[in-house]
Parts: sequence; C-alpha cells; structure tokens
Amino acid sequence: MTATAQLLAGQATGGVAVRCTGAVLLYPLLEGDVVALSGVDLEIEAGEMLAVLGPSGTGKSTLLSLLCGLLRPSAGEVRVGEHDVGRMGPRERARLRATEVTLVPQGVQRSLLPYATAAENVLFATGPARRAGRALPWGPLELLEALGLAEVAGVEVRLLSGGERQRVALAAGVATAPRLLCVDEPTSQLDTAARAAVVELLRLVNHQLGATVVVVTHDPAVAAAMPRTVTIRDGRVGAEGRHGEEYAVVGRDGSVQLPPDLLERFPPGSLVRLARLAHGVELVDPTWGGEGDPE
Amino acid sequence: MARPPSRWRMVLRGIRWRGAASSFLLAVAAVAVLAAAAGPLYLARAEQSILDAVLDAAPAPTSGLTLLAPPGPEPPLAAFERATATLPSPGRRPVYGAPIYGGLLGATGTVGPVAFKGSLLARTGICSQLVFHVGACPVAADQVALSTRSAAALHVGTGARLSLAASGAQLSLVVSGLYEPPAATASYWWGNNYFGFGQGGIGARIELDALVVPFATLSGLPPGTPVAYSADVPLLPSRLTVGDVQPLLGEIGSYANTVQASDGLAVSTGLSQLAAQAAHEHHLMAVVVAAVVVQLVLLAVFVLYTVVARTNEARAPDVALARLRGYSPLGAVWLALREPLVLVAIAAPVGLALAWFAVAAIGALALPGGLVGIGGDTILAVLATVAGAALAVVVAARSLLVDRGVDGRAARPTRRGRLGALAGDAVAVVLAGAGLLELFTTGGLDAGRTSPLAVLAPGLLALAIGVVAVRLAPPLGRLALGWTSGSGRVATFLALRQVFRRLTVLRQILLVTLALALVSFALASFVVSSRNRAVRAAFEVGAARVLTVDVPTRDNLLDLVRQADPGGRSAMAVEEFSSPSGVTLGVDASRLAAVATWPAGLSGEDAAAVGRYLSPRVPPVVSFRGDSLAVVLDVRGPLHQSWSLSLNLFDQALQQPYQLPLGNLVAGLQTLRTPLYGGCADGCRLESLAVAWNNPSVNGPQTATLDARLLGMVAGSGPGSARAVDLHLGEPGSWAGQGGASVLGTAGPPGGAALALRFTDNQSTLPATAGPVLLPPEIPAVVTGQLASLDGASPGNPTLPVQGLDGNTLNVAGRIVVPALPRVGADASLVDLDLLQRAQTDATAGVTDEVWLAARASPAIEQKLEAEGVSVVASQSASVAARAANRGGVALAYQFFLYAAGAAALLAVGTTLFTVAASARRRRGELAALQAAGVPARVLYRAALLEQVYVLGAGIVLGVGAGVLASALAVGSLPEFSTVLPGPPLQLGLPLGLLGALAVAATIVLLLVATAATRGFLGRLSPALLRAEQE
Repeated sequence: MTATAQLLAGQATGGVAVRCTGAVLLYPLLEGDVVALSGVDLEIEAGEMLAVLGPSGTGKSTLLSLLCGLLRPSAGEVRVGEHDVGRMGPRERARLRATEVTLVPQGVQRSLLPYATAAENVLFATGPARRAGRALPWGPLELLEALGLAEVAGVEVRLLSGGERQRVALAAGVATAPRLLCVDEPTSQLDTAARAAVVELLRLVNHQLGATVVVVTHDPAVAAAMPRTVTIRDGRVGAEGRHGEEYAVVGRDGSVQLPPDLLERFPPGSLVRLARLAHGVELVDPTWGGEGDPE
Repeated sequence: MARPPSRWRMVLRGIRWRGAASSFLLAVAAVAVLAAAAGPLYLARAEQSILDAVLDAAPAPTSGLTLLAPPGPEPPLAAFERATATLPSPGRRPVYGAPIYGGLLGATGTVGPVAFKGSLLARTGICSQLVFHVGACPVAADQVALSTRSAAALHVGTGARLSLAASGAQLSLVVSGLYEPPAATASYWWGNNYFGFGQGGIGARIELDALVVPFATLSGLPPGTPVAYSADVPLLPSRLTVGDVQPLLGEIGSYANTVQASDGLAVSTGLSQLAAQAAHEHHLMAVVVAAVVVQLVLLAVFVLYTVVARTNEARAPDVALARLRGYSPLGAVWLALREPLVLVAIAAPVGLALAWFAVAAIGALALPGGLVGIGGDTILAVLATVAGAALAVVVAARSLLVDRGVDGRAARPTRRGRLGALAGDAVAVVLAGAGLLELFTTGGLDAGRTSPLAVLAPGLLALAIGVVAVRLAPPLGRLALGWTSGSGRVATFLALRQVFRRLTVLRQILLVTLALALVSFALASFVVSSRNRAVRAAFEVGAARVLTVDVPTRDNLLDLVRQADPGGRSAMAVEEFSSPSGVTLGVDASRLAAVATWPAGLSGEDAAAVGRYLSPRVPPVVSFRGDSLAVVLDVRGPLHQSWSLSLNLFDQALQQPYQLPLGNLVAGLQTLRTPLYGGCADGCRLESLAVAWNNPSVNGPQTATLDARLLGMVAGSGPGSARAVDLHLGEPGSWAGQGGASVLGTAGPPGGAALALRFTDNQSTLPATAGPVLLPPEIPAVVTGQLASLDGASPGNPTLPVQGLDGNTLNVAGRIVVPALPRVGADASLVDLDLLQRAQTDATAGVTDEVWLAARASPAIEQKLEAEGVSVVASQSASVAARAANRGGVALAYQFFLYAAGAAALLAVGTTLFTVAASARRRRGELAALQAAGVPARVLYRAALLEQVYVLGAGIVLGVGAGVLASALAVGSLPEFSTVLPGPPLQLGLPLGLLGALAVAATIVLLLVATAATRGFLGRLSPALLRAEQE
C-alpha cells in the first residue's frame, strides 16, 4: 500500500449522489444571453467515478460549476446529495463547497495561487472547512508528503513543473476530504507519466475516500480509465458509455443525438425511418438502395 | 521539511507577486497619508514660525516685561532684583533674558552762552553699549559722559565740569568721556530715544543726547527727586514655544499681581496682543491648509480607488479561487481587500514619516523654529485618511464580488450598476455645485469680502467640470468615431475607440483635470499673493531702502541728497513729521516716481504725474550767503515822509527768521549796506523787503505811498568777495507784494532789470512787503481719504490744513486722494519738501529725516552722504520686509498649497504611468491581434500613444481651464494679509503667461511620460504574443 493509500485509508467520508433534472443555464453576457446547458438529465450514484466528455464549448465545465454550486441553474434541478443547488443561497453554496464538494478547475492558474507555496495553497483550500468546524484528517504538510509532494511543499507554485502543479492542485482539491470531487481536464499538457500519476490519484481518492469523482476530460486515456462516461453535446447529455459500451441517451423531448460518425451518414435535415425491432429500434435510410449503396 | 504554511506570509507573497501595482498602491496611499499628516505638522511648524516672526518683528518693550517703580531717588534695585529673580518661566524654562535696570531724570544747564537740556541716564550695562571716542564711561557719582555732538555743541571736552539743575537739585559733574551717538533703534534702549540731539529749535535750549551717569549719581540726589526707575526684561523668543504662550500669559498675570503687592512695581507687556496676532494668523492659515489638505487627500483617495479598481483584474483569480474553495462572500471580500488594506496600513506610518521629513525639510529651508512632534491632530488626520483609503479600497473591490463561473466569466454590468455609477457622478456634480453656490452665497467667492474657504473653489470646479466631461465624452466620441471610421486614419480610429468605450480610461481625464486645476490655482494664488505681499512690504517701507538719518545741524538734507545723487533716479530726501492732523511726508517730488514705491492703481495718476502735480513751477528762491549785504534802490522823490527799509530773511541753516533793518530811504538812487552779524554764513533766503512809513503824527494823514525801483542786491564775505544776488527780477511773476505793497512791473533787460514797486503804508498791522514768490497759489498735496474726510475736504473744496515743518499750520490743496501713502499709512498727506521748506518760517519741530533709496541706488550715494556728515540711525529694506511678510500665516498657507499642488501633479504623473503599465498586458494582446490582422506595428504604437494624447490633452485643457476659471472667481476672495489695513489696491491680475507655461510644461512632461511608458510597457509587438497569451 502506498503512502497515499495509507493516508487516505480509514478517512472514507463516503460519496454523495448527484442528480440533474432538465438543468438549464443561461450566461448573461454583454453580447446577449448564451445558452450553456439546455436541459441536462444526469444521475450519478454516490461513490461513482465518472468522466464527462464532449467537444469544446458544449457545457462540460459549466456542468461542473453547477455541480459545485458555483452557479445556480437557470431552470431545472441540480441536487447534490440532499442539497438542491438551485434553492441554495450564496452562503449555503459556499458552505457546500467548503465541506462536501471540491472542484479542481482547468488550468493551474485557476486552481492555485501561483505566488503561494504548495503547502500554503493546501492551507488556503482548507480554510473554509476549518472555519466551518470540520475536523480535517491531515495537515497540509502531511497530505503533501503522502502525495509525494513533500519536496515541493515550501516551493512557490509558479516555480513548479506542470505535473507537479497539477498534483498540488489535486492535493488542494482533496485536502478537505470531499464527498464529491469534480476535476476539469486534469491531464491537459501533462506527459504520459504525469498523466498516469494523476489518474492513479483520482482512483485512490475514489476508492479510499469513497468520494464521488466527476472528471471532465478530452483525454481518451483518462476516459478509458473511468467506469462510466457521459458525453455532453449541444448542452445536454447526448451519450453515455458504461464499461466500454457506448449508448445514445434519449432526451427529455424524446430526441436522440447521433454520434459524430453517424452524423456524416445522416447530416442534419436527413429523413430517416424508424424500424421497430424486438429489442429496440432500427434507423433506416429510405434512400438506401441495397448493399453497397448509397449511390 | 518545509516550514508550516502561514496565512500572513501568503499575503506578503501576494503583495510581492503584484509588485508594480502594490508599489504604486503603497505610494498613492502614502501620498494620501502624507498629505493628511503634512497639514497638521506644517501647521504646528508654521505656528512656531508665525510666533517667532511676530515676536521677532515686535519691539522689545512689547514682547518683554517692563517693571516700573514708583518715582523716588532711591534706586529700587533690591525690589527689582527680587522681582526679576522670580520671573515667569513656563515649564520652569527661563524665557526672559537678563534684566536691564534704568534710571532717568530730566536736567538743564548752561555752558557759557549755550543753554541746554537733557536727561541723566543710568542703565545697566550701558558702558558696553557705547563706543567712547574720548575718555571712559563714568564710574563715580560726580562723573558724566556726553555724546560727541553734545560736547561739540557745548564746546566742552573730557575733564570739563557741567553744572546742572535736576528737579530742584543742583549737580556738578565732570565729563569723563565722549561717546558716539548709538543707533537708538537697538533693542537695548527699549524703544526710548535717549539720543534726540538738536531737537527743540532755535532760541530754545539745545537738546543734548543722554547724559550718561552711574546709578550712584541718581541715588545721591536729595529725597523727593522724581527719578523714573525701570527694569526692562527682554523676552528670548527662541526659547518660547507655542505651547508656552498661554501658560506664560497666565503666569505673567499672577506675577504682576504679586510684584505689585509686594514691592509696588507695575508690570506691563504687550505679549498678549502679540499672542493674539499670532493666533489670528495661525487660524487663517489653518483654514486654508485644511481646505487644501481635504482636496489633496480626496484626490489621493480617488487615485487609490482608481488604482485598486484597475488592479482588480490581477486579484480576480484569487477571489475566484476563494469562492471556488467555499469561502463565504465576506471571506472572499476580505481576501480581495486584505492586500490593499495591508498596503494602506503600511502606508500610514510610511506616509506619516514622509510627512514629518517633508515638513522638517521644508522647515529647514523656509521656516524658522525647531522640529515639531507628532500630535494628536496629526494622528487623527492619519486615521481619518486611512479610513477613507480603506473605504475607497472596499468600494473599488466591489466588482470582484460578481459571481463568476469556473471559466471566470462574469455577468455583464447590470442596469442597476450603470445607474449607480451615474448617480455617483451626479452626486459629485451636485455636491461640487452646491459647494460653489455656498461659497458664493456665504461670501467665500465675494470679491468684496475675503474667505480662506475660497481655496476650495478649484477642487469643486474641477470636479464638476471633470465629471461632466467624462460623461459627455462617450456621445462626443461616437461622433468622432463616425468621422474617423471612414477616414483611413486607423491610429486615430483605434485610439478614439479605446478611449471613449472605456469609462476607466476616461476617469483618467478627471484625475488629470483635478490635479492640474489644483496646480494652476495654487500657482496663481501663490503668485498673486506673493506679488501683493511684496508690493505691500515695499509700500510700508516706502522704497527699496529707507535710511533714517541724522543730518548736521546747519545742512539741508534736500540739498545733500541732490548733491549725492545728481541724476535724481536713486535717492530722495524725505522728512516725516507727525501732528494731530496726521503724518506729513515731505518728499523731493521730482524724484518720487524714480525712488518711492507707488503701486499701480494707488492713485488715478501714475507716480510721475503725481510728482509733477506736487511740484508746480515756482520762481527760484532768492538766497545768498555772506557777512554783509547791500541793496540798490532808486526811490522816486521827492520824499515828504520818513521811510525806512528792512529785509525779512530766513537763515536756512539755523532755521531762524531775521528782520534786518537797512535804514531810512532817501530820494534817488541809493545803496543801503548792512553787516549780517554772522547770521547768513551758511545761507539765507530773502523773504521780502519791508518798507515802513515812520508816521510822526497820530492826527495827520494815515496813508502814504512810496514808489521805488529795486535794482539789485550784493552779498559778500569780506573785501573783494561781493557778488550780485540773483533776484530774478526779469522773470514775470517772480515777485509779489503784500499788505499795501505791489509790483508795478519790470523794466530793463534780464539780469539788468529793475523792479518797480509801490509801497502804501496805511498804518495797518500788516506791513507793506514785496518779495520773491515762494509758494504757488495753492500748495498741492496728496492726501489720504481718511484725512480728507476728517478735515472735511472734498473735490469741490480740496483745501485742508496740515502741519508744516515748523509746526505751523499750512493749508494745502488735496486734489489727489489715495487710500494710503507709502510708509505712513492712512492718516497722512504728501507734500513737496521744497515747498514745505519755502513755507517754513521757523525751526523744524519733531521731524524725522530720511533718505529713500531706489533698488538701483549705488553704495556711493550713502558714502557721499556720510562724507557730508549724515549718519544713518536706522535702515529698513523692502526685501527684508517682504521676507518677514513671507513668514506670516497667509504666506505660509499659500506656500503649503503650492507643495500640495506639486504632490497632486506627481500623483497625476504617477497615475499616468500606472495606467499605461496596468493595461499594458491586455493591450499587448489586443494590439498583437490587430497586428496579426495586418495593421502595421507603427500604426498600433501611434494609436496607443494617441490614446494618452487624447486623455492627457483633455485633462490638461480642462484642468488648466478649471484652474484659471477658479482663479478668476476666487483669487479676489482669498485673504492676502492677516489684517486688512488701508494700502494700495490689490493687484489681482492672473499670471496668465505663467499658467500658459504651466500648461505647456504639463503637456510636455505628461506626454513624455506617456510616450516612454507606452513604448516601455508595450515592448515589441509581435503576433507571437498571441500564442504566449494563450499559454
């Protein structure tokens, strides 16, 4: 058992279940409102580990902001455990982030104070939890040592390598022993070894702490390491993968989003016929003339 | 193992991380604190300076203590010693110097034919104050020391014995030494003129300088002799601090009661009046300084707000991370505020120390007095400023509290936020307008009155103008954008777009406007104030330099000065004398314009015209010198009555009138001769020829007439020296008759002319006389309004009486009326000295002789005067008086305003630098993107520079404009002097040339700073910067 596992073992706080029902988010911007999420339906069980996939700009990071209570849904419902995020005030949502939910955003500059040392960043991250009276199982130096970051504990973050910064960011994320850990693109710009270390750390947090882990990623390796993936397209969950199998998700309005490869076959505006089968439905191109065809 | 993390170390790391912004913020906060603390510190230092200036300027008897003993022969030295041993001493520090005991007794005497009067004077330490020409200071009771001129007048020397009568007592004293008459203005003499030699007039006893005796002489007098004893105790101003004054006044009160009760000594001092004068000046200064400090502090706080608001972008990630970590909104607020607040807290002692050093440095250069401590009012000012700065930090950081998502995007400004900003601006404009209105309605900006609060005008005006300009800029900018969008002027288009679309950029205009308005106003008020003080100082002195002189008895100062300065451009003889009808200044009017201070606007005419007015053309004086005189007359005969001729003369040296009988007249041509008995050895003026009919009968005819021709007059001093006296007979109107005499006409060529005269004697009291015309029909005078009104003179009837040199009343015509006259003030008249001397019929009485010198006067003039025996008793200089005036409260207040304005200018320059630096990173990205889109780098640099040109140009134009406007409105309302006394009209013209130069200098400096900053901070533009931005 690694030092990390030893430290995390026995500190299990248990995960928290997450449920999004028709979650909508509008960004009011200078240029006009932008629909970031247009009705996300998603259920995550307590202690589950999940990767959120999808093209850029489809709302993955926004979804994490909702789950962490940084933003409130414009419509629909987002529940984190017993908390209805949409009904929580700023102070309650802050308390939620302080004690139960942690987000490690994309880019170190958003997750760490670049001028502070690694240990000071961990201290900074645990401030609200301590103020809320939460007894933390470890101190900053202890945690960093367990995560193999003892040598950089007193070094300012701006002086660390990309991999070290990412691991320090994750250390700050788990410092409060959260029940829901949301991580945004944890492996971008990391080399293979660093990427593996990060994924391993996420697994340990999930296994030893029992925390629910949601990871937004473009990295196929990270996605492959996750037992479950959901794909966000056009502001809603369009597909889901479980144990290597990919599924389309039927939307609230009955729509089903085609995967990108099928969109080439059936471009928008194409007419399709639904053929009912015993175990499902077949999508039939009425213009198809036979094997080898079209055209 | 790393050391445990610390929250405060993290804060310090954050401050270091944002080094440039932190440094500037610290600097601005320090300037704010400096401004706030400098006010009270400067006031405290200036209070000492004002007190010192008032005490230094005050005569020693006014600031010191004078103890008077009841008259008696016995010197009350024991009582004096008891009293001076327990002098008031605030804080047990002695503030009085060694006492000077004195005794004075009037005495008269005679030496040969010369009768004299003088005062026996005993005084502690007098021997060290006098320079003995011959002999030594008296030490024995029967010894006396005389001044050299007293001894000369008495024709005595050392060893001579003087017999004196003093209040019934007879003394016989031996002259032990002869001393040089000292300058009576020295503080040792305690304001008493013990050396008034010569005063008293011809025929009266000669007034001698003090007859110096030891105390033993006075104590040896019989009981009941009324000797006036006194103890003069000088104050040591350098030992008296501001804090000592009130305790000292209290102690003096009880001291006076004590010594009066114990020894019957009366104590007098003018210290309380001096303290009140200093307090008044200080109060006036305090109001000005407070108003200036408020403006500068508000400006600094506004800059602080701007800086914090502009550095929000740099601190936004920290706040976003805190929100992400679950910090409460208040916790996140604290995180956003703690760095600037820590900097403000650090700035407090830094600013306080800077203020102390700045005031100490200014004090060392310009203010007398010692270092001042940091008092409660300074601490209070610092705390108030820190609170204001903290509030500015809190308000400026509010934009950090906007909810941001994980990608850091903030919601757009709400309508409420925009309305809030508009409301804030509206409140600022309304407050500024209300402030200006208040100044107008309460007299702060009323030209008829003065108010130190008028110094608020530039801040209020600039605030209103600046805010309105910032609000009007966007719509104007849209017009300009429309004009430039199709013009192909890419740089102009980009710059205008950048300026007019960003309120934060436009706010820079407001800052520059405020700073330059303060600088312009401070400069204008300083220049106007300095100019008026210099004019007033020169006016009060009278000329660039004024020498109070002692003139040898037989010499005429007017002649001596004309001989010393034949050009007439550098020196002027003046005689000043007081009477119940005010002070009369007799000046050599032909030199008035060249020498005297005659400020523009003092009279309707300029000084040259006033000089011409004062000295109308009058025939020359007929004067001569010698020991014999002959008059040539041709009397038309035959004579049936007995007539006699006499001459009325005026001995100009002895200032004595003579009537010289020449004998009886006969018919036909005749020469009447007479010795002058030494009476005109140094010059006589012919007043008139008097012809009298020796009427033998009281019952016969009472009227007789004599016609005669005056052919000439000859004067001489011994055989062969006879010279014809120029009687100016050929000049029409140069002779006139009086009391029955008339001038019938002139016959013959000039020089050989004869004057036909007719004398009619009707036995009236007024004798028939004919003489040279000495005075014009009316003696022109310049009089003050106060004197004219007291004497009932008016433009229709300008005649009013003044006192002549001889003390006789003289009617003058005051056709020019002024508020005050140079040197002598508001109750005075100015008459030509030559006319005054022509009108003089007796010895001068109570006249002070002065020589006024122009700034250009050469030292040779004084040397020539000294060579003629003129001794300088005292000297006053306009420049010294101006320097003293510059130590007054009002002057120091405007000086402080100038320093504050300098700080405001530095803030503007610093903020310009900071603005460019703070936006450099974002601008680099934007400009790199435009460069990638094909816009040449030089166009982009020009665009960046043009932004600064527009912002700074607008700020400079508006600021200097607001400053000039505020100056035009308020300079007339600013107090120029702590006390309003009649004087020359204030010269309130604005120094427009200087203000123009200021605008040019500000433009050059700010544009140089902006250009250097733009080049420096933007660095080399390259599309590669875009990639770096992405990374």
